[in-house]
Amino acid sequence: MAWFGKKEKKTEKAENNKEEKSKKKSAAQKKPSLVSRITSSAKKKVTKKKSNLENPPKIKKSAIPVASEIGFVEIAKSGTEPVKSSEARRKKQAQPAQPEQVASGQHNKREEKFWRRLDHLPEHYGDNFIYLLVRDPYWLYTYWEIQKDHQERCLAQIGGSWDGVRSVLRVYDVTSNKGLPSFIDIFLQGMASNWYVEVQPNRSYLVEIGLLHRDGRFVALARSNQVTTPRDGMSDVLDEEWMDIDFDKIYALSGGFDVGKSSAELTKMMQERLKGAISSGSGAGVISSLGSPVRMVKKRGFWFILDCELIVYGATEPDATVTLQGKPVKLRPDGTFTLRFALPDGKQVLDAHAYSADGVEERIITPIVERCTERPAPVLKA
Amino acid sequence: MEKGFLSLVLHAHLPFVRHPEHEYFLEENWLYEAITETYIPLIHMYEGFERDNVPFRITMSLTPPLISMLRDELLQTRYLRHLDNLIELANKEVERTRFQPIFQDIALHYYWQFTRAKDTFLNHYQRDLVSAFKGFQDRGHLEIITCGATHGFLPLISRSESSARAQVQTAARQYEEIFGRTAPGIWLPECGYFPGLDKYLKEAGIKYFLTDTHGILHASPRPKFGVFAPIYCPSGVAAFGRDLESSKQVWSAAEGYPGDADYREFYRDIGFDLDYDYIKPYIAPDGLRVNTGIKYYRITGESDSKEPYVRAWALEKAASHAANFMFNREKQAEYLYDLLGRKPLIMAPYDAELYGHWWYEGPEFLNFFIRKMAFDQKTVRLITPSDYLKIYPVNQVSTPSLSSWGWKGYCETWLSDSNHWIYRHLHRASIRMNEMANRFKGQNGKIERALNQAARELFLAQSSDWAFIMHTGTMVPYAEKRTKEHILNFNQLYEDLMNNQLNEGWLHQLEKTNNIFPKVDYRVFCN
Repeated sequence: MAWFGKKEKKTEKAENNKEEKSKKKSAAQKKPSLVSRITSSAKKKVTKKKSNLENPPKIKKSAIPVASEIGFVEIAKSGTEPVKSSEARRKKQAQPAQPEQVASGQHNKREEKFWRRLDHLPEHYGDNFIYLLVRDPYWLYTYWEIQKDHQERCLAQIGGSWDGVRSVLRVYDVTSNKGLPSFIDIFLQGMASNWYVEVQPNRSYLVEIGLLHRDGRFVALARSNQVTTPRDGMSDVLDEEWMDIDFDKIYALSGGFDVGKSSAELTKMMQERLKGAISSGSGAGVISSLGSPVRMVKKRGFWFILDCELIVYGATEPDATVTLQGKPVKLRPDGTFTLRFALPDGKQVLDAHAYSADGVEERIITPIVERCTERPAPVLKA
Repeated sequence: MEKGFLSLVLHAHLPFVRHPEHEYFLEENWLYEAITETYIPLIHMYEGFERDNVPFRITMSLTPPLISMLRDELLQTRYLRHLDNLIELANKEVERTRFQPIFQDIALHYYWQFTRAKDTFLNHYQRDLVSAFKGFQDRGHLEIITCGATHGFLPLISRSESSARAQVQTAARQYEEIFGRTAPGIWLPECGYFPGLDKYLKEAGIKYFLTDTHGILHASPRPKFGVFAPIYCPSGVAAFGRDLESSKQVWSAAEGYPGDADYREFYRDIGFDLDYDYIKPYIAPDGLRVNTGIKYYRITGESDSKEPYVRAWALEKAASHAANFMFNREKQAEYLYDLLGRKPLIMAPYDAELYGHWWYEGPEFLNFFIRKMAFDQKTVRLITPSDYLKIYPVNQVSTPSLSSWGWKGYCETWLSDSNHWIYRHLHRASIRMNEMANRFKGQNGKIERALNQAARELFLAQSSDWAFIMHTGTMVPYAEKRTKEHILNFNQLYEDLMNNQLNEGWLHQLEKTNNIFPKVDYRVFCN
């Protein structure tokens, strides 16, 4: 979806991340918009790079809570991670606009007006559940809602005390139907109410959120739906009726890769492309619809622009006829007129003629204007 | 006889942005700009083909929110206001650039473009551009397909069965009502497919959809012909995969055509460049500088210093790019024909707005390309996916892989730290919608109206555009506001209905403001 790519303005942050926010804001306000646009155009690539760095998401199995959006249930007391509370989140959202998200100070004002009208979304819906979504072949996303009374009841089943009890996310690999599924436990901290879970392609999973006692007893607070991650390469399943062509070749041609690569190489190339790890300079733009394919202007540092316009104005009898450089000039009802021209370097001869309505008299005024622009080399001061 | 086929698919979409509560609303400009720069130029191109008897087959998705906006009286009136303002500005520009003939030529070009757009909009189609596209379809040139009702990203919003079904059904019904036939195909929003989704398409009578390259390549069993032939999902709905080679030539920022030095520079607009007092009447009323659409420079090169745009050079370039694109497709088809032993289909999908809005000369490129295809070669034939299925009704059965055409190929654009918070609310709303639809089924009057409005609010909250905007980090407050507003409206309607305390005045207000799908039927959410 390309429409929104054009106003990418976020990357100022990435480029000046040492600068203080307030500083940035005032700079953005002062800057004439041409530059904020140029900056913003240049930013696009940076945004992408930044995203690449962010990926794969930082939560490994040892897991740090993802900034919890709507963490309303304190799942474990051990949390020391600086997790944003829902309150903090709401306050942040209630702010008119983040300076890096908007074009200029004027924009800020506009957004502020909007925000005032909105209530907050509910913190929870009074339910107990956990839900699982597939993000890509390597990551799942899960979110949940557990009410305090439900948690207390479950806690009671393993002794009723938090002593030695931790909140865990138990991730089951249920790909195979045989035997008990294998699982891993992720220890939750703070007020998390959602999590990204790193997994394997082409396998099926479900998760439980629960309480784990150090003696090994586990009580589930909720169990999720089951999901299957997509494969990240070609299928192993062949269809006898539809064979006989070199599939590696077809794969390469379909994917825009060089013909002659092995299955393994092709798989790796496709995975790299899909992970956004290609550094051909064009980035993900090659294969996605994100943003514009139009090349952007490079960001520069200091800058200075100046141009000239010429305003020609005058007055005569309201019923007179006036021309400038032979072209008719439109008079206002009171006989005055104003013309405005871009003034390039060079000489302009502006012969103006006024003809009286009775055809008896013609007056001529001819200003001659010359613009000559000098551009000395920039002066650099220590 | 030809050796292969090419399908050009243009995806025309904008989210539903309509703000009657404000006299002027910045985001509505998305629509106005797209009309002037993309939709009307495409209409002019199609008219030209018909006038000159150029055979052509093109596929276009017109998404339900776009159709709703194009048919909306308020937005039509506002578009005219916008266009009149532009014409006035172009007029002034013609005078202002009198000492600079190079610039004056461009100003005249814009003046001509805007006045012609107005003539087309007002006099040829009586403000209804959808009827223009319908005409091209009825005369056998265009194949119009549908999309999700509000471009909801289906892999992520389908917690309850009825969500995906409702998005598809509502779109299909709108299509039928407006185009008088069943939608032949669908552009899955963001090409987002998950195994099983096709059954909802089948229910709606839709015969095919499009996926990104890896959706087909990673299908199981292995698809013998790669993306050069569709596969049938087990449900019998066909899936067509994007060809990467043709895609790259147009999309790629580095190698693609649109970055050519002679093409118009998007990022130099007089809304930003000219003296503030002069341009003020033509930017946002609160004084915020915005794009006007009048841009005088060509891309020139990497540096900031830009040279004036020369229309003739740009057209020359568009013609030679069209020739190059055609040559490459011919070679591609010949090679694949020998390899596959059957005529390959090269599927080339693009955002429609790329042509004209981003790539100003895009419509001219298409124009040259389609004319050349018709008269200068015989190797490749332009067809639509439906045409293909008639020529080759037998195709391999295989299940495509979860995929999208977004960044990194799956769901991350719409599910990241910036936007994941929306899903617990969207999911809850869809579960509640399903619950209400079942519970109140059969009721009419005020309750039926409230249910229908709840469906509208849910649909509007589900637009993938909001999550996309949050992810890209631009105009985020607007996207967050839209998401929250529709969810809050929905929740209020839910509570009012459950407690039997509907506020009719408020309901009426919502019906007037968020008026997408006048004929929406909440029953699509029933079990």
